[in-house]
Amino acid sequence: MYYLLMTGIDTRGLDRELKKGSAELLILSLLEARARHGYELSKLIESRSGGTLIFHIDSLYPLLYRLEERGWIKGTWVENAGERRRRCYKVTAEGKRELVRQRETWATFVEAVRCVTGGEHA
Amino acid sequence: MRDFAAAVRKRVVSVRLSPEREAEIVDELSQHLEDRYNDLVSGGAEPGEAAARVLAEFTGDGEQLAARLGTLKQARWEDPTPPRPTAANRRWALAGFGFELRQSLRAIRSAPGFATAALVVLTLGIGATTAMVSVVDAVVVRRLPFPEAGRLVAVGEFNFKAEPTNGLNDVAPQNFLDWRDRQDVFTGLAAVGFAAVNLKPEGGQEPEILKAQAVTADFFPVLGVAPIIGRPFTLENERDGNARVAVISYGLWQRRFGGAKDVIGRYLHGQLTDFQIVGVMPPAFAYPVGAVQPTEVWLPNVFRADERIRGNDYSYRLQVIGRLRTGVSIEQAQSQMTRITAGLARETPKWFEDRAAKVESLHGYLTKGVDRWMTMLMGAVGFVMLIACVNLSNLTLARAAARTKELAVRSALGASRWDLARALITESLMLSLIGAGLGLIFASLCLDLLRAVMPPEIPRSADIAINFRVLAATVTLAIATGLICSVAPMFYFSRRNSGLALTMVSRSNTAGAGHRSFGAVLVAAEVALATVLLVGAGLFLTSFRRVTNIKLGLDPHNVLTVRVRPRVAPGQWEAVQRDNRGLMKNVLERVRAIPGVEVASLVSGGLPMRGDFRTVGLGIPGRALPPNEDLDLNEISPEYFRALRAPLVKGRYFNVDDIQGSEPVAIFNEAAARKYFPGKIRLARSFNSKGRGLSLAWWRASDTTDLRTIGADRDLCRWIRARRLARRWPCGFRTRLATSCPP
Repeated sequence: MYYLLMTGIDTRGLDRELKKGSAELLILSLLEARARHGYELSKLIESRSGGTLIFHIDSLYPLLYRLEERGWIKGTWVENAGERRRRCYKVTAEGKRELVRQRETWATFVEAVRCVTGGEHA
Repeated sequence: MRDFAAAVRKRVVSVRLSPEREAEIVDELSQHLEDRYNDLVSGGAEPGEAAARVLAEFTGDGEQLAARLGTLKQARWEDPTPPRPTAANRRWALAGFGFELRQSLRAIRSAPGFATAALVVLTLGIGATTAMVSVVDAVVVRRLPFPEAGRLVAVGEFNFKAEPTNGLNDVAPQNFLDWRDRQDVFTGLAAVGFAAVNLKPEGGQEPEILKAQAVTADFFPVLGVAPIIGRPFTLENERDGNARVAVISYGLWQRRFGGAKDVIGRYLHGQLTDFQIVGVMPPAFAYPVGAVQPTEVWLPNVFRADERIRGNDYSYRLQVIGRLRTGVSIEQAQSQMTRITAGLARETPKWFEDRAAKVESLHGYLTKGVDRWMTMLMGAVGFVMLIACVNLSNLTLARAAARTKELAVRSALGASRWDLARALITESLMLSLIGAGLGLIFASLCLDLLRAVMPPEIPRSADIAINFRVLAATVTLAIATGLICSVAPMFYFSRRNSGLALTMVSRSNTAGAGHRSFGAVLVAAEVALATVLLVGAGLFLTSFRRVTNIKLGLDPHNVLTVRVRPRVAPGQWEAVQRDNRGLMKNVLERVRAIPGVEVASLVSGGLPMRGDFRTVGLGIPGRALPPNEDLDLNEISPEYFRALRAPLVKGRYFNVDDIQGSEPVAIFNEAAARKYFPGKIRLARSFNSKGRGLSLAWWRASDTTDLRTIGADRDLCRWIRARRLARRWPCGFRTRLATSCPP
């Protein structure tokens, strides 16, 4: 049995990120700039990933509600004239700290993977 | 037709969300689907096709929605309002309850040893407690069966120089008449005296001795009960010549007159006089309340002329009861009675040298003397019940340890902790209720025994029965016992929650440390309770031993008593009365002829140790005695003291020469002799009797040892007037027979 040792990385967090496909990181990143509603989030993820990443409704909203329960995002109902009300989400201060931490973890992970998979130089 | 909200609601309805949150999620997700629809339509899709596609995507995507929402904190919402009972869920609940009962019954039947031990403990505990509650309820607790019974009081005299001073004594007629005239705190003040009616045989009916009371005019109004037929007495009936009237009980009316409607105006034919019936009391009326032998006739209490003046004769013979006026307290009544008595004392000081008036509640008066030891007995039985509870808890705990595997399997199959607790409680309650049923049967048998052995002096003993209140107390007791006894196993399993996992099944069922420590607590509690009970029982036994060791002045062993009440053929009553002496002599000789009878004697006026006695006034020529010097009187035949083996201190027993016409003689007990003839005891002292209805004048005294007439537990010195005085036989017709023979 072989063990992969990684230093400087929250291995438990990495495992979680890998399992969830970094879904939390995607949501927090998209909400960092401004508040968005659920459908907009799903469209952005799909369009920005070129159709590679698709967030289905049965995954997206339970995740949004979970992040809200953790206090990382905050949802509020917004009403515009002539439209149905929409629930828009924005990142809280705690969510921003979590975003920073998850970005670092992800960057370290990508760098580690790159180092391993980048090929050997003479 | 697109209805995205309905589609979403269908998905999330199974999630435990609050109604508000569910509405929000439905709103948000249906908006998401609406946006997707709009995009499709904008992209050129037909609306119907677009809606169908959206719904198809959602159906495919939404499969995991409920499961994922179900893991959220907000999906743990509890509905605070209980579901409305519908016929369906009532049936379901009943079916569930029936299932629990069947399970419990099965569990009990599967452990017959445990069930038997538990039921024995419960039957004894609940049975003894129920019996004692029945006794205490009837004798002490139950209110008197009269309207506004809280306003009823007893008014009596007490000797403030005697020890103890709290006893309520009978009242002299003179005092009663003055109290009645001068008081205004009672709606009425009534006196009750002794009376007896000996019915003649007539119309094929046998002679009958009826328990009677002589009462004043206010008696029935004070108690608040009127005759159902006829009228009560009037003040006129208290005067001689107007007193040959009677109010009879419902029972006597039915028994003697067959419930005849025309009973008013008919006569009770007594041996001495006839009484015209003026009223019939309701069936529930009884005074004294709950007497073993109920009073059946009430006669007017007649005040003789000498009882209406304060002369030199004293006769304390009346019990006085009153009904407080509305708003008047016992303390206010006491205050007025004290003032009235003080005024009377100024008018006739010699009547009140040691006497004062006292008012207390009639309930307290009737239950005085028994309430304290009844409370003690109740406490003792309570301890027994507690021990039974602890015992049963220990039994159920031991059984719980043995059932670990069973309960672990049930837990593994999905039974919640509450399901297991409910099963344990149901089982324990079922055991308790079965035990209560058996306990009631046991209590019923105990009450039969108690009624048989209970002294007749215990007030209201005839009312002792298992009634609705006792039944309610028993059921409450059983439920409480069941709940208490289910605590131990529940505590045990709560401590071993993890032990209910199926993984524990293979482990040994040996009791764990928790079980042992809890069992040890129960055993310690049981030992502590038993110790308290044993200490109490030890004190009781010590007191009992002391009482039994008191010198009675007689040997009660092998002494049998028989009450003689001759049957007289119709038409022969007068002749039998005339030949009373011969009749009794004949009875005595025939008893003596019975094999094994060593000595036989006649006595009238009460047996020793029973407290029933007859008194006679005393006078000694040449000496001034304090007022009210009356002595307890028995009339006996010569062998009486030999039958009782009461030793003679000095002088002689009666003999066959002491017959009617010879020199009158008497035998004193030592206490009376010391009191009235102090110094060296000499015989042939003379004294006279002032007793009512006794014609003998001069007596010759001799002495026996102190014969206790009241009871072994009473101090003889307190009963200075209760002296034994004996007149020669033959005696009166109501006669007791004392025989001495092997058992």
